Amino acid sequence: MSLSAQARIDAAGILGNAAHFAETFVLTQPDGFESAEPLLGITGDIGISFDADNQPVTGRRVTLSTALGAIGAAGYTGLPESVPGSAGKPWLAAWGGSTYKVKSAAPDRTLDVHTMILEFYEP
Amino acid sequence: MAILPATVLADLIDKRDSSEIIRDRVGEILAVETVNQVALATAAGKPSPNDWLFRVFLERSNPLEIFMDRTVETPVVNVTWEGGEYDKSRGNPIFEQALIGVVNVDTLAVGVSRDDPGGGHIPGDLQASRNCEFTARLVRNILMAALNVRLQLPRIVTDRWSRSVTAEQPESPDDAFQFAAIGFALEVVFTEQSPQVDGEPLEFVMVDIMRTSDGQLIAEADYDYT
Repeated sequence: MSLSAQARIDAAGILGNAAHFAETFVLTQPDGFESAEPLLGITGDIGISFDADNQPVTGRRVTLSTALGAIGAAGYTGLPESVPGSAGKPWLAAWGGSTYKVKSAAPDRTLDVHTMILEFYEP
Repeated sequence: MAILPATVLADLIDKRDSSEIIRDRVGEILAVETVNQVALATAAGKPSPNDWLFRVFLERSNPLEIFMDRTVETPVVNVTWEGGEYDKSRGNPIFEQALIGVVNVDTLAVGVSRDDPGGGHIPGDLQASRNCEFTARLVRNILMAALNVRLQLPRIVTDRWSRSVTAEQPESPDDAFQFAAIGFALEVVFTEQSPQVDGEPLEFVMVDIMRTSDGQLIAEADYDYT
């Protein structure tokens, strides 16, 4: 087995291991479809500080990473991505009592990992 | 040549400068008026009177922090003193100096993406801009109202003008929040006064001003001389 293939397997194993860092989340695609079983992924919610015109500004960075293959295998159509238009519903991810909208997405097809930057959402 | 030691002021400097008073007054005007506007909106039967509510802060370096725990969505107005230039053509070097200063009044609002029961959703960035524009509208109208032509400081402020307005989105692309900010630069012309010296009478001169029978004005002075 090549190292790249091993890396993809290792990534999926880390992202899908609920005994370690992964936790369950519910993914909702714009047409309302949700998989029968919640997905597994690694979430993050950290404080950030950045410079906006030489003024320190704080914020929060909420992220979610999951295996690319797991999304399609669960029956979803396409990959979660930003939906800027207001006419349609966005991709949503929910865990821990909070719901988030996919603000931006960065699929890594080399390692088979899909990382999403999320923003707060009121369902 | 011997250099005489410096002379010191006789009185303690224990008053605020006009720039501080003006910055604080801008904050007071906004803080009082938002409460008034909510009351007026309630009396007018508006469905959401608290849309006229905003929180006022002075000289905060990071007002967005108030939104971090997501318990507050009321827009924030941050009043800061930017600085100014002294106008040498107005005032004098002894008593009073005229200053053209700028008070920054920054409006910050958050927007959260929401489901639209009628279909689709309301994007958070659009909502943040709308919330911010609503409050910035209140700020501009309040400060530029005729009532506040001298910021209710007629003995200090001679003029105020809206110098500029700037809209921006003070957030990182990775931020879970959607923020919008509108900065309103208020130009204020006012005077600063400086400590005075009580003069020491050197000589008394008495002068009588009289008019003669033919209308001529004459002066008669009494003084001692050696």
